[in-house]
Amino acid sequence: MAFTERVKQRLGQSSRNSLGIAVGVAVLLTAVGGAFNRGFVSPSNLLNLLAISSLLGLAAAGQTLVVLSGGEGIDLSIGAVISLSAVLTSQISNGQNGLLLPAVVVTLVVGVLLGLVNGLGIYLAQVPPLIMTLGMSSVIEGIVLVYTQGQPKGQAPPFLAALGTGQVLGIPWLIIVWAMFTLIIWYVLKYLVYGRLLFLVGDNRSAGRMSGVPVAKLVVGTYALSGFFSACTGILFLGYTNTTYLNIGDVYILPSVAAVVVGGTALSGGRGGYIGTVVGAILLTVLDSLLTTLHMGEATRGIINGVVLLVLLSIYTRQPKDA
Amino acid sequence: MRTRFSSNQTATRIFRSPAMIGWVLFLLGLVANAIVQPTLFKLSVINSNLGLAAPLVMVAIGQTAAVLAGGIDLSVGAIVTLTNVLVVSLCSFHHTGFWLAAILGVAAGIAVGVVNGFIISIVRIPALLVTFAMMSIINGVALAILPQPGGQIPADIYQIYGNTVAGLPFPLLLIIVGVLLWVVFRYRKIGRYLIAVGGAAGSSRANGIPVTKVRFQSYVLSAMFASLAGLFLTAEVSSGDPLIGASYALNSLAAVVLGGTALAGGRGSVSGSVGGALFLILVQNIVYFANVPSYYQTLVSGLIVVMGLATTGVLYARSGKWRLTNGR
Repeated sequence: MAFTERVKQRLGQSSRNSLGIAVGVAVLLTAVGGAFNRGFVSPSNLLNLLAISSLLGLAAAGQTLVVLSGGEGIDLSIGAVISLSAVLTSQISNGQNGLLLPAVVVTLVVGVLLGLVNGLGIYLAQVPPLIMTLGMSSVIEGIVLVYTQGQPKGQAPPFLAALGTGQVLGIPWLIIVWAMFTLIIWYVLKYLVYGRLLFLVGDNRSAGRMSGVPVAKLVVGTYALSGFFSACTGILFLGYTNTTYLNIGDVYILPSVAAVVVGGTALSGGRGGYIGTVVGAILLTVLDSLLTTLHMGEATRGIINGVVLLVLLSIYTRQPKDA
Repeated sequence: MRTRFSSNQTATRIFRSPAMIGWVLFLLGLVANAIVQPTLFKLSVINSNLGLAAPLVMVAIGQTAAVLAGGIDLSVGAIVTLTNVLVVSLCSFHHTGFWLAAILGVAAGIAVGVVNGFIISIVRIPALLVTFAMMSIINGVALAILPQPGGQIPADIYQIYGNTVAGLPFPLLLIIVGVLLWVVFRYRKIGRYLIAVGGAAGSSRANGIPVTKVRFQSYVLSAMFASLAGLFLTAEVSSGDPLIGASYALNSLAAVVLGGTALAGGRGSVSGSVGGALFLILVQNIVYFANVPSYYQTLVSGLIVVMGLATTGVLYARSGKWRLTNGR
């Protein structure tokens, strides 16, 4: 009895353990895929899976920070920001390398500004994050429609396309870019003042405020960062697909939240980290790819995705009895 | 809070009620709509507007139950879809009578709520995640039932829906029935318990309120209203579509917040949510009739909604100790 209680407690509380579970499930899913189809575990396919995960992983980077910042933090506008970023980069650069730099700069600035609006609405006007970012996503979708008049033009400049689909020494560039981002985010969260304060504020805002942490700046800035990462994702997505259409980012909205949670970051804020999200993103991508490999229709895929998510959640997001 | 006793205390209470914001927004929307669309108050126009509004109003009522109890239900849109595809495919492909199909459709929706409630209250997993995963599952089921839009319900059903009964628009009667249904719950033990549990789960438990049971019931209620909404929507559009409910989860939440119900739970009202839902429908109308160029419509309506949300948030924050969110 005491033993099972202890196990349960550890399963419930330690994010390191949920990370272990996520890694285990990802490996298991990959093995299952390999059992059905040898090609699934071939090095090239595994690298390809990682490259696809990198887009979800980057989209979920901002989500991780926002969730860590606490106060029911969540960013549902990342899908719309990704769509807008892909469209902006594609139309401004118009497929020319020379225009790529200004296109990227404009896109990143717009992403940060939209994130700032989210943050201000959430912190100053006290709109719940879920609703604020949701409202903003319809505004941003509106901006996309106005900007493109319903038909996005242009394409990825060759340099960006090479970054999105090319390889170096057999490793896709996307993976390398993602690895760099991961390293930076991990370092920031672990060693920089911003990262440490983010955990403090996420865990207990009043305590943060009383110890003189600039909570307002920190929270608003975190939403701005989420906008920045979404913009990066949109730019790389354009490179990956080479062309763009409306609402390409929508598929990332809820999976990004799922990746964060599956990676062991608590939705209540203050506990978790980006490495877990990386594993979560890989897990979700492998699962989706496995279901496609098994020739499952969209309906079955949706059902199985949901069931797996429920099972994973019931393993490590169980709440204490007297919540 | 200091209370000043005066003869117009009731007026003060109404004015201070969080639901006020939703109704003020609704009235503002109504005036703006009447200006851009002079025919707004013609019976046929009222009828078609209410026909559009009734499903969202129903979903918003159910969502309010879940939110008041301190939870959230993202699966309501999928439940709307499930009821729609089930009723339509039973009617047109399996020759079931409409009313039997309707009962089965609503029962299926309530069953989803039972599963939600079980996992959230007894297995104790955060509601946001459970209902999100359920959304994926139920959307998959709906897609399996009806892979492509199609099918039809008997003509007399959707004719009734678009018609008037005793001089009143039929959808209005449905909305009234929906609100009355809520009132029945609100003023019984369950209604008080919902608010108590959402406000302070620990104290509720200490006072002998069956917290787990109340949480469970809130999701069954939410699913019941959502599946009724699915039924109304089916009568409105008269055919089936596996993606029909997609917008309802988030719109119902927006309606709830615009209506002054705190997402943190424990404070708010259904009447506010009804006002919020009607406001959201009016915004679409206003943007359409104000001749906003078609590419700008999403942007303008989005901006109006965000400003409404910000106003609600600021007013809420200034009204004293209550907050819309735990976010600060």
